[in-house]
Amino acid sequence: MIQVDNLVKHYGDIKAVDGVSFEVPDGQITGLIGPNGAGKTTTLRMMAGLIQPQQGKVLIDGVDTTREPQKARALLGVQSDMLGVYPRLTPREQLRYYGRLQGLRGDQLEQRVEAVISDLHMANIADRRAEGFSRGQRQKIILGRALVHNPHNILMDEPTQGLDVMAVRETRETMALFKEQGRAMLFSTHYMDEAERLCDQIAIIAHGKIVACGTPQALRAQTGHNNLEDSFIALAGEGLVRSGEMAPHPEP
Amino acid sequence: MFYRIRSIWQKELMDNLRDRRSVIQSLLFAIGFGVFYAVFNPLISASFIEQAESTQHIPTQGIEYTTPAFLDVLDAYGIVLETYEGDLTADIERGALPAGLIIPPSFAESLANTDPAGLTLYVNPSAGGLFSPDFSNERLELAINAYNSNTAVERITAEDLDPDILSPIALSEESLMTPQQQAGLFASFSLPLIVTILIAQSGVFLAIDVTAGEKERGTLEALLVSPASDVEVLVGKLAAVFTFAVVPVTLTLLSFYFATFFLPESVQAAPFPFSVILVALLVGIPLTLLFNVIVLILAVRQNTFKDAQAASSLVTFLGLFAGFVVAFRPPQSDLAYLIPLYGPVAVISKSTLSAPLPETAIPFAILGSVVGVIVALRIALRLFNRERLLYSTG
Repeated sequence: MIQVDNLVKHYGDIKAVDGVSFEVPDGQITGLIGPNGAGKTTTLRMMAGLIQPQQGKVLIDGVDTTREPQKARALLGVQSDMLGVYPRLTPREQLRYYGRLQGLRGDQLEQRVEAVISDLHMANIADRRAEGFSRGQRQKIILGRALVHNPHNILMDEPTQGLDVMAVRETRETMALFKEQGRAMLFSTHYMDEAERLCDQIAIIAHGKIVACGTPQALRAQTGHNNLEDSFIALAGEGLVRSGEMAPHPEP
Repeated sequence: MFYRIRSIWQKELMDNLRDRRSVIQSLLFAIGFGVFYAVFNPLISASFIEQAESTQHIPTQGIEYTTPAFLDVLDAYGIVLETYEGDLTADIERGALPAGLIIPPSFAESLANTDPAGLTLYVNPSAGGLFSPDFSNERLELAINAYNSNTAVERITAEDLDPDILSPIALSEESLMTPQQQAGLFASFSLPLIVTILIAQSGVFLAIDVTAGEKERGTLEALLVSPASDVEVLVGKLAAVFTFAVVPVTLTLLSFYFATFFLPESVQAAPFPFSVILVALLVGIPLTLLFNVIVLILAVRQNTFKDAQAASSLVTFLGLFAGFVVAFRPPQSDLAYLIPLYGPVAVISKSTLSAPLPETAIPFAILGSVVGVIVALRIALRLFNRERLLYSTG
């Protein structure tokens, strides 16, 4: 379980994240959605321990990311939106490398590498150097390195962004598998249909604040709309209006 | 802790050994450079030897006005005057000739009348290049001094006077510098410079690749979300950079020594004494580590490989600066060897000249580098802040 409590991060006068709180329960997929610049990535980076919050805390299975960053990072798998891989190393070598950084060694390391290669259907590319890999193939490496230590908690930043249909389906199936395995999973996305289909709960962030949090059904009910996209626009728009970024829509 | 450091070290080595650019820059370039210098230095030595031993031909106008006695003295010094038909001064001025002599028609008559007989020597040292063996006015001056002395003695003796009255002080000067030592004089300036620049450059490519390169590739974030601590990441990367740097530095220095054995005899001169190579290695290896940390500091905050390359060019200037300071301001006290960069360069320079080194020079030079490494590492660690490293704009 991941608990985010009153996270604050300001850059000068800009309030990138301004008192964000939510929970990512075990065995559930939680979606973090919001417009560009709403604070999604900053929140995810604070959760991953890459950015220090000015206020608030993140607990990964009860471990504070600020007080015990190394221990917390070992409990977390992070799939970044950066698609960088080492082009001169094979996926297997890259998985081994990240496994070692997680403290795995010997047979245990090799078993985990094999398991990830199998789970993510990477056997056909596992021993080829990554130079020239497609976006989907690189995405698999990135996901694989986040999973090599078999973390219970997973953060994914726009995992299906730019993938073709087959790769999107594979990624969604993998996420569903994680849910079945009882992992706590948070992912950010711009795709409303994806969020609606996959998420058990959704946190909508606008201008650094959580403006709504609940199941897709609850969010639709809250706004009175039939689909999540309209609900999102209504809720995120309200957030922006509250923060002074957007003028309220005139009544029809 | 060491497991993660070793993992990062192994990964960076494997990754970069597969990179042709890294290998060429770190190994082939460095070794090739060593072989080049090893050939170049004996060539200079050979050039000085040739200059010292070969007959010197001086284009001359007015040879017919000279005297056989004067020509005999020149001949004894290995100088032959050759008649020149063209415009001597113009040809020297434009660099076609390194030197030329004009003997006036009154030369022999002035000598006979015991008047000063004027000779005009035109020189252009730029002709033939820096190490041209074409002309040495030193030898001509020696020959003329010898002629003057002989003639003065003859004239004084003819007047029944003791020739010693002309010499209240008799300074006898004889250069005992061998041509090899003359070449060593050049090496004492050039070798420390070359070694320092080589050391400064040897780890640059990898240092950039493991910092700014990793950021540019988009892999740094993944590394920093792992449980590896800042110290583990930094030390692992530094260890890889150091390994990649120290191997070519060692091979290059050894190639300075061994390459001369494979040269044709025509250009062979004394190779560097092995002690020079050994001393250069002793002080050069800690210096390599210091340069590696400096490059990491310069590269770590850059966002792209090119930015880091531009920032890292500073280390070359640091090396050059240290070399020039040593050349113009050699150490005045033993403590000066403690100064990072300066101390090791001074040690290499002195050992190349075979000059006696203070007992503390080598330990001080090493200690200075080690202290420099510790200070630079602390700075690097402060800069290795995850947030600033990943998301600052440089």
